[in-house]
Amino acid sequence: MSQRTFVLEVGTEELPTAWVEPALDAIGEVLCRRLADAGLAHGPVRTMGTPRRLAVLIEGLAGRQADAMREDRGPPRSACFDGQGTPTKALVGFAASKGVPVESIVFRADAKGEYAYARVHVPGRTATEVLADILPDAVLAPPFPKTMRWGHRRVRYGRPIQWLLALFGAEVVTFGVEDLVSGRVSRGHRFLGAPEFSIASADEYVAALEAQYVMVDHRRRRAEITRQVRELAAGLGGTALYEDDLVDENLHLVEWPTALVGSFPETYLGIPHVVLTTVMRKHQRYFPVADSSGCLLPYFIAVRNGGSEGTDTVRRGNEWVLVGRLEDGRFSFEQDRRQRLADRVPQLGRITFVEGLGTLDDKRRRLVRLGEAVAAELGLGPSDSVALARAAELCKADLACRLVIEFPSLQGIVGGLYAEADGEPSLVAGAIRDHYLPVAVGDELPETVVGRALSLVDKMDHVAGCLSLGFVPSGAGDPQGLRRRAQGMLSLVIDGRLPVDLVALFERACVELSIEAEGIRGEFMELLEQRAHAVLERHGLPRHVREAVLCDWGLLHTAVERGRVLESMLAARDAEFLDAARAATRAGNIVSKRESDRIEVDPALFEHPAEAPLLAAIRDLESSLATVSADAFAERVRLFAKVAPAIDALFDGPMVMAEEPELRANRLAMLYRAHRLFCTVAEFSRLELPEQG
Amino acid sequence: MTFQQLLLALHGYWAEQGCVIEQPYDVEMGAGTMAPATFFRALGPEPYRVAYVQPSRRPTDGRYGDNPYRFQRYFQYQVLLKPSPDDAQERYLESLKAVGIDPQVHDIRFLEDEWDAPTLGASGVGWEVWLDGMEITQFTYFQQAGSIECHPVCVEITYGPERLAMYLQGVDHYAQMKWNDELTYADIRQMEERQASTYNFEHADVDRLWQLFCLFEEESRSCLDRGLTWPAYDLVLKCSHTFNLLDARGALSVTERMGVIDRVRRLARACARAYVDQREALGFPLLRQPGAA
Repeated sequence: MSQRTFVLEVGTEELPTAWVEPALDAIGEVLCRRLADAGLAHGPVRTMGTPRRLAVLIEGLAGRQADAMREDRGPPRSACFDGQGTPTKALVGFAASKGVPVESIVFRADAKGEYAYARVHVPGRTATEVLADILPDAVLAPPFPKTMRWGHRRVRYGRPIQWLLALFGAEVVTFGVEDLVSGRVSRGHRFLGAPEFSIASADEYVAALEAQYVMVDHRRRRAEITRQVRELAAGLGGTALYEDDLVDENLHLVEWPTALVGSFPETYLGIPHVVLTTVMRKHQRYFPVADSSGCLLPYFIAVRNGGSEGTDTVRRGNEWVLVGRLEDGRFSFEQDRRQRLADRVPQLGRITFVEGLGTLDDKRRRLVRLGEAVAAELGLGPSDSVALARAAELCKADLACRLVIEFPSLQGIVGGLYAEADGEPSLVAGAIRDHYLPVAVGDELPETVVGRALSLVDKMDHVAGCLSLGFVPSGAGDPQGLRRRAQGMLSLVIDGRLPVDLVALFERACVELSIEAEGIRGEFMELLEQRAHAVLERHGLPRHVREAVLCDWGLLHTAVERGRVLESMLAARDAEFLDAARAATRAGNIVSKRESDRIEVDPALFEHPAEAPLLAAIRDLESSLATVSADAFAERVRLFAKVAPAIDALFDGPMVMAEEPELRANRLAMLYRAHRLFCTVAEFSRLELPEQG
Repeated sequence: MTFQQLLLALHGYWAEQGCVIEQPYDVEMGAGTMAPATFFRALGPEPYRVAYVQPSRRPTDGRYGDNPYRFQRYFQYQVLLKPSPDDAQERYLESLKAVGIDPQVHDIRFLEDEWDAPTLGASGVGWEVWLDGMEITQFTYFQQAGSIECHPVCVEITYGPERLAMYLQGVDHYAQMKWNDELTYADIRQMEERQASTYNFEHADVDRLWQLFCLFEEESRSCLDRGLTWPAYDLVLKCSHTFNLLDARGALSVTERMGVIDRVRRLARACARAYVDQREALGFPLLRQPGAA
């Protein structure tokens, strides 16, 4: 049988927009894998989807599997022939059961003895048969974030499955999912196409849907939406904003996109533009339009699921909805502006932050004090310190404003705007605006160091407070967003190169919160480590290097740079580096057995010739490290290498872990002293070093 | 189309779809879902189809009648189809035609929505339905009610008739929305909104509300002890509304809030459980109906 095109279409009720493409990938992946397992060759595979259908089109799929020979094992030779050498019933029966003549049976020996084998001809199955087996699994392959049941059925899916279409050339591939059976019937666009129509062959699939007003290929639909939106925007003498995000948002809400322009009264341009664009983008999924200088125009572009009939009605409706929302926004804005932002601070005493952690006013006081601590740690100058204190004072005040109550996603942004309008310094307003950043992985960081410091203390207060209430993230559950905030803090320190010791800041935050750090330190450290790996992984550092550079939380801000140095020295198999790393590893491994953090060494207790030289070498290292910059990591490693022979000599000599407790403690103190110096670059024992030799 | 024509058209349409046209339930509640016609009927294996208007009270949403479309008491048009038919969406879209909305000349879209009502131990998935950019309906496949897995699954369709009527009439304030040919929505409801908002926000006596809450709760438990599930549930609704009033008075700290929600939820779950057990003891009578699955 020759090659033909195959198409699968899973018809559903409207899937959530973000689920369509992952579902397509999963179905395509399972289909391809299972076809490969079955030995069915095929040409290009295309997945296509709309909110109502998940489709996979496979060109040039082989019509049947190749025939194959299979050897089946039968009875042992000893049971195959009687004394006269005549085949026994066992052998005759085996041959008959395999449908081969007795003479064709061969014998082969292996470790277990000699056995009869029948060579069986296995005819290839047709693609239709193979597909009927595969398709139920392919349909159910998508890993939907949440599944549901409907009607009497037990099957779970992202949204109800309505129909199944599977065609191999012109032939229906019949299969079922629960009581749903596949056929050649598809459905057109909800309002423009036929409720049901037949498709003659897989090759006609895309064109047949197009004729029913379904642009099934989402790539084509994306291009079409983009084209229409650009054309309309150009007609208004402007450009559509947030084009990529909004095209994606609209893509899987429509099967037949038609963009249209709406307008709103220019008076609304007096509302902060971020409010306008938020309403348009987030609430209505409209494209805002700006002129060439970036000024918003009183227009929007909406994408409807349909053709051009009734455009005026649809436009009027969308305008009506938008104006209603903008009116709410304007009312809130005008109410808010009757008071200065600073005058709203007292209202924070009436808003609970998180139950058990007091009000937002309590939080404000904590942020101001934590801000002072961080300003001192960072060595901020007077103007930055003052700005940080003022920003901490005001940063939560917008939560008492109507506009933020109405549009919670504008928290911070509205505060920044109001602060600026009140004449607060731009450093203060900017820090208020940015202090929730980064919200998600990959978000921008606050612009200034003041904004970064404020963001850091805000997140730390939240994380420490929520941990103390028992909100420990587990599995998929993280109701207080602690992972996200921890990752934000790590990103501020690592990506923002902010030299703040997060562990020390955590202790300080616990003091401000009047909570016991003791009970939650373990959870906090676990969270921190986990997220630190996530942030460092984004910089491409492999796991062992990440573990090595997470040696000292006080040095976290240089972790990426240290990681790069380690990686390049490792890759170069730098001899000095390897000497240093191996010696540091020996020291690092053994100091984990120490009983105290003592680093004072008593030379009077030395009894092996290797000890005094090591102490001397450590002292040399201490004084030479003092002369190089804390950031000169490669240079530091080279200095470490100089101690390596002395360490090796100690390890090659007596047992470091001497029986005598005083002796042992003294040696450990010396090695720990060295270890701490090595940890100004890395915990070398975590590195995967090349085999010696 | 006037407000009452809209409601009558929906009644006519859903009656033709085999729905029982129930009358509004006479206990205050926050949403049509809470009426026994949905909360109880969604449970267990018995088929049911019902449509009704449910006045819904949300004291905190009151605006003294000053806001163009926010009220402390408004209406929900509620439909429950159990089991959910395969053509539930098509039937819904037909209902829009019945109120004069031609999908050809409008833009109708289904936007994902997850619904969760912790007080009722209920959750489901479905969509907000948008008409020309405006949310007009919530369309939900119940997955759980009273913390009990729903099987079969029912679909709940909740229309917001005020917004829909305003849109169809092309007005942007309820004072202009025609209830019938002579009277507007404001003529009928404004005085009530003003007084109710004043009561809810300013005069409801917090101590007495607390006493009422405890009395309703106790009475509900005593009903449950005697197997009187429906009266017990009426009292759960009363608890829930009293809680909403306390909330509007700003009388609840967050701890108290969580505590009270939990007390209501426990009662609601007990009612749901008892309802299913009692229907089972009766042999799920509606399973015997012609056409029942």
